[in-house]
Amino acid sequence: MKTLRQNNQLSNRSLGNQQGNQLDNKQSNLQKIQQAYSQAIYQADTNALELLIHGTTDFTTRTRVDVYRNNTLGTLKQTLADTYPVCEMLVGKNYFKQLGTAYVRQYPSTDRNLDHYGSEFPLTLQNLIEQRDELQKLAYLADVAQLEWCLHQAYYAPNRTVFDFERFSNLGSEQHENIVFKLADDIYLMESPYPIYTIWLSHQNSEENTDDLDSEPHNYIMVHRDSWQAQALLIDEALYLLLNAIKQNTPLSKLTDLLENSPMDIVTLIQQGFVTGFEFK
Amino acid sequence: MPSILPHSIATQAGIGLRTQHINQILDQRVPVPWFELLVDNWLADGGLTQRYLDEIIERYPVTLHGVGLSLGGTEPLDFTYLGEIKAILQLSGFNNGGFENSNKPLWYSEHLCFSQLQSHYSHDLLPLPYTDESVKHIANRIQQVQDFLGCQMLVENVSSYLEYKENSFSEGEFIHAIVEEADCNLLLDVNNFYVNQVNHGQDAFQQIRALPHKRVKEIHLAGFEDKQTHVVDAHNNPVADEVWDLYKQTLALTGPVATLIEWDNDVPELDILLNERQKAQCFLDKQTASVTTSEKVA
Repeated sequence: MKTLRQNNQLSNRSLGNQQGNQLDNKQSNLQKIQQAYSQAIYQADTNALELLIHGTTDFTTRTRVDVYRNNTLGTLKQTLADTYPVCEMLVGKNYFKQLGTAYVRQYPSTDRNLDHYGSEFPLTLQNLIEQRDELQKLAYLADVAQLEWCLHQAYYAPNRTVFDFERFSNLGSEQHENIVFKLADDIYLMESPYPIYTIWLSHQNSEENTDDLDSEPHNYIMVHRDSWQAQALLIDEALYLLLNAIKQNTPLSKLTDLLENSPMDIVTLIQQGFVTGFEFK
Repeated sequence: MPSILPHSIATQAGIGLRTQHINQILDQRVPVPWFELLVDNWLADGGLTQRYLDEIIERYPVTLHGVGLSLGGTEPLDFTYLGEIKAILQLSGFNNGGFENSNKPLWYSEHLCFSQLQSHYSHDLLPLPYTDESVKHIANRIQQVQDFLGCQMLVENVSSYLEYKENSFSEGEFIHAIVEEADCNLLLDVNNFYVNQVNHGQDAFQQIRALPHKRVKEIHLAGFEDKQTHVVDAHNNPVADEVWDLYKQTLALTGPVATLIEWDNDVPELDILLNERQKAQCFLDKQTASVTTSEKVA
């Protein structure tokens, strides 16, 4: 997400020209230290860093390096646990720690923003379900993880904009068929062959009773942010197909059949705040 | 709204704002002289985070504290990230006539360390070697940040668990050289100096004495965790007696300085945090009275 701006390219060029080899030597020395940390933290190879530091009998070089290694790995594993609390409940804390250790080894953090860490966890779980016997009975686990990732993203999504009704009402009828509606940024859609909505809901602290909930075998779910909290809603297939088509920038002219079957028309979607804008294809 | 705002935070103790306490603080309008925001937690594009940010800045003086810049790193500085911080620094909300720098967060601080490891991130504050090369490298980057933000920043000393063989300065000399070279201000973390005293056998007060005291604009206090062979800067305990003693000695050198209680893990009830704040405030009040008395005598 983060990109280098021109300011920095300028300053690098300036430094390189004015300070020459001295800077190169300095940077390569710091880079060597950073490489040693990278090996220690993400590859469990502490030798290079241990050679660069002092140690004592009580507080050895290995223990010192391990403080940093454990800090980073602990932070990433805790981030996974915070993002995927229902998955943690489903497999138990100890097994989740094992999953976290394997994930962190496979996916070092590549973003300074920890909120972005863990996006590949659902896919990783899907692969593990196919490989590990003990996960066979939790075949729905990867889909529950996907639902939790959608909730996580919805929570941090940009705020909704208000639909421009005035501009919309001034459109000529010939323009209608090329309209592409914009779904709110906090809306995420997913389907699953498992009753993951009921599974997820039964692991929330809410007082809502899940006993009477119909555990539909195939779930269509819309995640969105309402009253500042990310929420999951079970929706019917027709609405799911309509929203999904809108999300994929399908022009209005090709939404006709989907709109006929959907329980909500475009005006209702706009009034609900689900559709926040439009453009032309 | 009752006035809960002081005319200057230089003689005031504040607390780090934690999500667990936000509703209570906003609902009860809890009187706290100022808050520090861990800015990396407040960069969301929308939602509750942004709403709380606006409300807090509207009502209280705040400072911004970062952990994600990797000031001492060798990867290019991330000006997109700094742009987001600059946008918060320019938010207008707090408006109390007569207050210094009213309407905007008061300053932005970061750590004298690195956290980026080429394409990966450690999400930790990794120490630099105390060398002349490190001084020039990080001072240059601090200047770039200050040029971009259009204001002076504060840099903070970090706790550490290792010392490099190539160190050619003491920690105090190293920090002194950086802030003078970069012409920036200093956030002095008393607990970090104490942690390093235990972990490396160095005299914490000697390091603090070596600093340019006029550049100290903020002090951090926090609790550590004793691991027998070493102590960890865990921010999960009350401030230790030894650290309070060191704080008192530090104030004698710097005069009254805005002081912050940090408590990031195993976060307690707000009242406990406020009691820690009050304790720091008592030290600050004594120091302020002592300065006033000596000025009168002079």
